[in-house]
Amino acid sequence: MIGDSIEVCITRIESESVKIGIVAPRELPVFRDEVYRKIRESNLNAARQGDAPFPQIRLPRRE
Amino acid sequence: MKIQSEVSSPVASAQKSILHLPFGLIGFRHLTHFEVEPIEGSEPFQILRSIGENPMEFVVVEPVHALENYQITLRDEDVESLRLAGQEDALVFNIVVIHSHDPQHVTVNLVGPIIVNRLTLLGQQVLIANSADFSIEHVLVDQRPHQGS
Repeated sequence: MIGDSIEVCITRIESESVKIGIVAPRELPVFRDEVYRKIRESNLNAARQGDAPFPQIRLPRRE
Repeated sequence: MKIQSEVSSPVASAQKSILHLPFGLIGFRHLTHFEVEPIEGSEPFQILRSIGENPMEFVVVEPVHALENYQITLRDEDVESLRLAGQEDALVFNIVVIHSHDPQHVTVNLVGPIIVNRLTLLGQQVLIANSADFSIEHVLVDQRPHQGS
């Protein structure tokens, strides 16, 4: 089990490989691992504490 | 569902509308309610602020203000869970990362936007179906000196 609602099950065992399935509630979004990991990392980089001063960002003017 | 958002959100101008993201954000699943506030002097950027103790903030931008040709395709299950009847129901917010202030280096995640149903204010951070077309770190501003040509 992963957490309370996700179950990892072994669906097939062969001599050289094991096939793994993931059973998750229909409503829980499941992403490909690598992209998920990258988005997660990006969100962590983006997160700011609630009392951080507002950033000043200037978009370059389009000519 | 394809979305090329051309209409800005009323959420930003409506005072303190609360967005409900039942699955939170990726990596922040516990943050389920947010408000959106413009950053004065840094339009079109806005702050997405979680509601509750120890609020977390994310700089976001609606892509219509910062990008051209950002056409995204939503997966069917995301259209269903957000109950979007059409693209006009969708608000799109992309999360911005400020890598450095001086020199300024700012990127935006185009692959995992936050989609909000403007009628219900229910939202979710999704992985777009056409993620191969875009970058998680699309450059908006890069004032760093570059070596070479």
